[in-house]
Amino acid sequence: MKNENILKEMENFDLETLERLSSDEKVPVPQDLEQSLDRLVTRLSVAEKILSPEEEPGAAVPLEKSHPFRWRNLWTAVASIAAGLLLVAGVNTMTDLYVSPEDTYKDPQEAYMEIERVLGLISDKMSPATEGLSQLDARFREQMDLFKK
Amino acid sequence: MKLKRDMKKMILLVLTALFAIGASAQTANSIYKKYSGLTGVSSVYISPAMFDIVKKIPAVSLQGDELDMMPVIQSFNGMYLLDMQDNSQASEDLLKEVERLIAKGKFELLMEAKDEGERVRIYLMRNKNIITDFVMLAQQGRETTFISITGNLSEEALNKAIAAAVEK
Repeated sequence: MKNENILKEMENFDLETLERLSSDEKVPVPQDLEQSLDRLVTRLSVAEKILSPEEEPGAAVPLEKSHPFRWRNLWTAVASIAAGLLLVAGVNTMTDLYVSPEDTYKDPQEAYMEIERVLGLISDKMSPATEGLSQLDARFREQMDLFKK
Repeated sequence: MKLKRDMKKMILLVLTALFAIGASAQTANSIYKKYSGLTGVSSVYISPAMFDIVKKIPAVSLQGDELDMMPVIQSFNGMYLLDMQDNSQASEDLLKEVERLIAKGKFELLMEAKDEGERVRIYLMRNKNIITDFVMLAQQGRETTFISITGNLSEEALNKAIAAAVEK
């Protein structure tokens, strides 16, 4: 209680009074004052660090601080993945489309005979149409001949 | 710097999308690759390189056929043939794929004939007066035949060949 009152009084001292008191050698200085002050300062600095920690260089930064969530980041990530998948799918499909299969025949003579066979097949399939055209052509000529007579 | 990075990403995304869209196109090559090797499917592919060699062999002579295709073969670049015998599911799928190919490309119907249960359609793709693609699709019951020929055939040559067949 007495100390508290002294402290309250000291708070009201001006600088000049404090200097006069400090230079007064009659006032005994406790021997462990320096150690006590060191301990007090250390405790205060530790308490300060605990209450408001500062970032030290090289220290791990919490994820939420280094990479705050933003919709823009999410959109970029999704777009990148989609682009990558599209690219892979596109390359795969383009390869499938534009890389030619292997020739069925290695021997040109055999290939030649096969082409001949296929052309004959086409010709056979077209026969009904060409027959029809032939008949039309024949009837047209008949009619023209009659007309001329 | 950030704007450049965003622009690069956007360009890459657009290019990739275009790439993928282009890749979705149906071609005779893709149809051939899909169906060749299946059970009940005969397939033949003759490449442009093989055609170059074949063209140097003495001229093709066709016996008793309606069309004289001799001048025609000189203009061929490649040929695909798929012949499905007794594979109804694959036949149906092939039919749909070819119809999609026809619809997507600038093919025009040259001829359609129905005779004794067989339906034959012939399509052409032109570039001005040059025929670049020939597709024939024949279907009879469970059998389907698909022929695709690429080349540079003049309309005149084709008309002469057809006229010669009509006169015979």
